[in-house]
Amino acid sequence: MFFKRANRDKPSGPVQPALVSFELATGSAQPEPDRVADVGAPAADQTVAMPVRPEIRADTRLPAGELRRRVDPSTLGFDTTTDDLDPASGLIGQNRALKAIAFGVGLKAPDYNVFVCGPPASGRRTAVKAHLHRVTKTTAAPADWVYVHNFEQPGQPKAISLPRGRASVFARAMVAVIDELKVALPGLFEGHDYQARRRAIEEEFRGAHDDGIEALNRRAAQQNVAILRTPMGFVMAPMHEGKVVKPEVFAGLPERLRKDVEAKVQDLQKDLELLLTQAPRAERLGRQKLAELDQEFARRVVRAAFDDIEAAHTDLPKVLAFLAAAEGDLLHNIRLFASPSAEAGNAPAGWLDTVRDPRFGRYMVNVLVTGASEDQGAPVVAEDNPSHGNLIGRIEHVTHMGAMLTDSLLVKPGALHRANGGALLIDARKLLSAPFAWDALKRALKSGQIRIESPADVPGRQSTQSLDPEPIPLDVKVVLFGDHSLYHELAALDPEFQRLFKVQADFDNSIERSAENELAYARLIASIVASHELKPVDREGAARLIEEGARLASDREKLSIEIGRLADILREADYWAAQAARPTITRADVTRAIDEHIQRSNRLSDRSREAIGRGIVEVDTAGEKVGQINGLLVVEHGGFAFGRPSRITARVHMGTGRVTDIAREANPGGARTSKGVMILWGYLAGRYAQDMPLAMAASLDFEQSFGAVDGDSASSAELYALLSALSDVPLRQGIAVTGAVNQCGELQAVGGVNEKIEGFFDICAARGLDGTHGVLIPQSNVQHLMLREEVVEAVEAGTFSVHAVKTIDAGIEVLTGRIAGVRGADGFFDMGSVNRMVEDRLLHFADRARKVGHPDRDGGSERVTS
Amino acid sequence: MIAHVAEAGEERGRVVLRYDVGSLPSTMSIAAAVRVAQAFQSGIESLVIADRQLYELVAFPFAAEVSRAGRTTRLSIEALERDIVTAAGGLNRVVGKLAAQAGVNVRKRLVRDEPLLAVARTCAELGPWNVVALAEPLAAGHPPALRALFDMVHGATGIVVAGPKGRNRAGPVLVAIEDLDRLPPMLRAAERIADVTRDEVKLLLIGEDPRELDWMEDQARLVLGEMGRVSLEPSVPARSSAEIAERLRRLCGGFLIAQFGGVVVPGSSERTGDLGPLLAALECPMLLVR
Repeated sequence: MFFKRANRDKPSGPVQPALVSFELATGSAQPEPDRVADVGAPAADQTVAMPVRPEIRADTRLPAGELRRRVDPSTLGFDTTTDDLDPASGLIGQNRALKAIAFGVGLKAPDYNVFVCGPPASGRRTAVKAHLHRVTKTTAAPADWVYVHNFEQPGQPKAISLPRGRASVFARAMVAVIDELKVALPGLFEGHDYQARRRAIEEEFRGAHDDGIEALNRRAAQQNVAILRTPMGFVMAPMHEGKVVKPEVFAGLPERLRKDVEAKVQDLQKDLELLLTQAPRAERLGRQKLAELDQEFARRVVRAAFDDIEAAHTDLPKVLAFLAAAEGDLLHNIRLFASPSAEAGNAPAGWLDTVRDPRFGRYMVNVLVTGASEDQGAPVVAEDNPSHGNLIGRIEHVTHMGAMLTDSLLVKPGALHRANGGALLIDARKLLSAPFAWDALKRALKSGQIRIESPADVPGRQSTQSLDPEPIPLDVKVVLFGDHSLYHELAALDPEFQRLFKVQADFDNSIERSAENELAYARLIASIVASHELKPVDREGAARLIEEGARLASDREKLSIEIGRLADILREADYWAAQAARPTITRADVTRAIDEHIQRSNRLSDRSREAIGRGIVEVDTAGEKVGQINGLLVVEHGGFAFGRPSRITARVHMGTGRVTDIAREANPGGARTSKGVMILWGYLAGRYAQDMPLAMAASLDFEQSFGAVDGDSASSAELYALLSALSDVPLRQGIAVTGAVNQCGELQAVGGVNEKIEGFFDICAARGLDGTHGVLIPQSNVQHLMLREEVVEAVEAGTFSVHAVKTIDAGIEVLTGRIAGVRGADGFFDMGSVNRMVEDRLLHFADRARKVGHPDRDGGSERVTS
Repeated sequence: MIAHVAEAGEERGRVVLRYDVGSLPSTMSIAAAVRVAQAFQSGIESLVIADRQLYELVAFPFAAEVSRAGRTTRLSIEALERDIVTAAGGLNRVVGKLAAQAGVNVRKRLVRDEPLLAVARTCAELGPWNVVALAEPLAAGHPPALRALFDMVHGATGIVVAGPKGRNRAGPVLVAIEDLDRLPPMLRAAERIADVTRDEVKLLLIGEDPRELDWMEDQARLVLGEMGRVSLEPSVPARSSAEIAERLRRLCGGFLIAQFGGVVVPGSSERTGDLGPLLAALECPMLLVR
C-alpha cells in the first residue's frame, strides 16, 4: 500500500475524469466532488470544464504611482544649485564610515590602519582625503629626514631626523661648506708657502733615491765599474775609460785583478740591492709627509668652513657627529680639492655643480623628506602607483665602467617616507597587483620602520654595489581602498591583514531617500557643479537627477551616491545644455544625457530586441501555451545592464524524481540557478507529495540561451512552467515573470527588476501594446521600482501592467486566469483548481510507477522504458 | 725642422722618439712627441735602442741583474732579449695608440747600438730638421746628456722632453724667450703646436737687465703685431731659475718652448742643479731648441 488515503486507491479500469465546473468569480470553492483515485493524463478528446476567472484579478495590478517615485521640484526650495544652495562639503550619508576613519586615524596604535570598503567611483577617495586633511591639519607636522654618508661603514648610510623645515637648510649649508673649500683650498695649495714646502719634501725624497743611485754610480765609476740599465733593472761590469771592458780583454787580465773586480762588483750589487729595497719605503714616507703637509695647511681653512654649519646645528647631536666625521674625512682627502674632477667641465654651474660632483658626493646631504614649516599639519599622501619602489623607496644606481654604483645620495624616498607622521592612501587592488609591494608594506607596518631594500636581485645586473640604509621609524596610518569582496578575500587568505587593518570603514553605495536626504543630494549636485565648473542645475533638473539617483540605486527608497556616475551625467547634461544654448541644466538636459548614454551603450540591447523582433529568438507575447513562459534576464555588458525576455519551457513525464535543468546540464548555468531548480523540487514534494512518491521527471530549458545564467530570479518562472506542464493549463504569454521562490512557494525579491520590466516592455511595445501585456514580480520588489516614464505612462493608459504577488498561487492565477486552489479540510485541493490538477497528475505518475515497479501486486506488466 | 718647416711648409724631417730600454717611458713624453708630429704634419720614428754593451757584459762570469725591486738574478742573453722585445712592444703599443688618435704615421725601429750614436745615425739617415723626443722623463742630471745630443745629432733642431710632474696636455703654449733672434721661429713653432689643441700662445721674455727687457718687449710687440693670438706676459728678470720656474708653473701651460742652454734650461754641467726647480714645478712637456 503506497498511499494512506483510501479514496486514492484507484478503481481499476479506464480513466473517468470528473467533469466539474464552478464559478470562481464568487471566490468560494464548490463542494469538492469525489476524487478519482487514479487520474491518468487527460486524453486529447477529454473535455474538462475548468473554472475560469473572467479576468485577471485587479488587486495584483500596481497603480502607475507605484512604478516610479517622483520628486516634487517645489519641495526642493531652490531655483538653481548655484544661487540658492550651499554645496555639500563632503560625503553625505556616510557617517558610519567617516566615524570609523576618524577612529582609526585618531587611535595612536600601529595596527589600527583602515580599510575603506565601498563601490568604485563613489567619491570615497576624494572625500576621505579631504576628511583626513581636515583631521590632520591640527596635528603636529612630522620631522624632516635626511640620509648622509656613513664614514665608518660606507655601505650603511645614516638616517638623521631634523625639525621640520631644517633638512634643506642643512643640505644647502653642507654644499656651501664644500663650495667655500673649493675656492679656498686650491688657492692655498697654489700659494708660494705651500708650494715651497711641498717641493722641498718632493725633492727630499726624490733626491734621496736619485742621489743614492747617483752616488753609487760615482762610487762605481771610481772603482772602474759601470752601472748599466736594462729593461728590468741594473747590471754592472768592469769599465775602462768610460767603456765596458770587453769580456775577452777581461779574461786576459791576471786572476788577482779579475778577483778584485769581481769582489767590487759584488759589493756594489749588494749596495744597489739595499738602495732599491728601501726605495718604496722612502716613497711611502714621502707621500705621508706630503699628506701631513696638506692637512697642516688645510686644517685651519676646513675648520673655518665648518664653523657656521656647526653653530647652526648645536641642538642636533647626530648632525654634529656627521659634521665631525665629514671634517675628518675631508682632511684625509684634501687633495680632492687640488685635482679637478673629470666631469667638472661638463657640470652645470651653481648649486648642482657641487652636488653632482662625484668627488664630493659623500659630503652631501640627501634630503628624503622635508616640509616648509611646522604649521602644515601631518601629511596626507595618496600613492596612485604603489609599486615596491614607490612605496618604501629605492636605491638607484649609476653606471660607471660597466659597474652599477650607488651612494647615499641615490637613496630615493617612497610614499611611506612622505606620509610618515600622517596618512597614506592606497588603492588595495593596485597594491596587491604590484610585485612585492603588499609584503613590503606589511613588513614596514609590523616592524614600525621603513627599511629600503631591493625586492630581488635583478637578472643581468652584474658588479652591482648596493647599500643598506639605516631604517627610519615609521608612524603612519595606512588607508586602503577596496571593495567588499577584496576585503573578505584578504581577511580569508592573509592572516596578517586583519591584525594590521583593524578598522573597516564601510561606505554605502546608497543612502535612505528621505526629504532631508533629497535636499542633501541636491547639495551634492551643487558641489559637483562647483568643482567641475558646470552650468547651474535648475530644480527640475535636480529633481530628475535625484530620481536617477534612485534608479541607479535600483531602489526607489534609496539614492545612489556613486559620485562618479552622477558627475558623468552632470557633465554630459552640461554639454547638452550648452548645445541648446541654455544657461542652466534643465530636466530635459539631464534626461537627454541619460538617454544618450543609454543609446551609446545599448548596442547589444538593440541587437537582442532585433533578434526577437525578427523571430530569430522566439518569444511569444500573445496567446497561451502549456509549459511555456517568458522569464526575464538581465544582461550586463561594460557597465550597462538591460533586460530581455527568455522563453522557458517545461516538459514532464513519469520518472524517478528528478528535475533536469537543461541549461545546467550543458554547463553554463550558475550555482544559484541550480539551487533554484532544487528549490522547485522541494516545493513540489512539500506541496503535493506528502504521502506519495514524487514519481515524475521534468526538464526545464531557457530556450536559445547559451550564455551563463546565474541567480535564482527565474525560479518562479520555471515553477510556473512546471505547474503548467503538470496541470496542462496554459499560461498567458503576454505576462513575463521574474522572481525567486522558496520551498514554501513564497516569492522573493530579485535584482534588476527595472531593467527586466523595461526589457519586456520594449519587446511588447514594438509589437503593439494591447492591454494584455505585463510583468509579474514579487511584491517585495515593488519598493525597487523606478521605471522609465514611458512604462509608467503605458500603465496609466492601461496598455501595460505590472503585477505584484506574494505567492506562487497568486502568480499562477494571474498567469492562467484560474484559481490556484487551496487544500481543504479533507486534504484535497479545490476541484478544478490548478493545484488539484497538478496533484492529480502526480498521483497518476506515482500510481503508474508503483505498477511498473511491482507488477505482481497490481497485476500489471508495464515497463518504464524512458 | 722647426724653423725650416714653419717657414717653407716643406714636409721633411721627423720626430725621432728615442727610447733607451733601460729607462721607464713616460706617456706624457710620448704624447708630447705625437703632438709635435701632429702640429708639423710629420711622422714618428720610434727608435728603441738596446745598448750594445749590455750584450757584451753577459759574457762576464759574474754578470748579474739587480731588479728595480732589489732582487739579483743571473743575466742571460735570452732573458735580456726577451725583456728588450717586451719593452719595445710596450712602448710601441702606447705610441701606436696615441699616434692613431692624432692621425700620425709611425715607423718602428729596434737597434742594438750605442745610444747616442744610434740617434745621430737615425737622424742623419732621415735628413735634416728632425726633432728628437725622449721617451723617458727628464731628470735633473740630464743636461749633459741633452748637451751631448745637441752636439752630436746635427740632424735635430730640437728635443722634446717632459718633466717628472708632467700631466697637462692642454693649456696655453708658453714661449720663453731669452734671445730675441730666436723669437720668430719659436713663435711660429708655438702657433703650430697651439693649433692642435686650439690653445693660445703666451710669450714670456726673460732677461737680466730691465732696460734690456724693455727693449726686448718693444721688439717683441713689433713682431706680435701680426700675430693676434699671442699674448705677451710680463717680463721676468732672470735672477734665478727658481723664480722663472714658479712663474711658468703659475701660467699652467700645456707646452713650453724654450732655448736649451739658457737660464730656463741650463745646458752646462756647472749649472745642472739649476734644472731642479723647473722639473719640480713644470707640469707640461717642453720643446727645447738650439
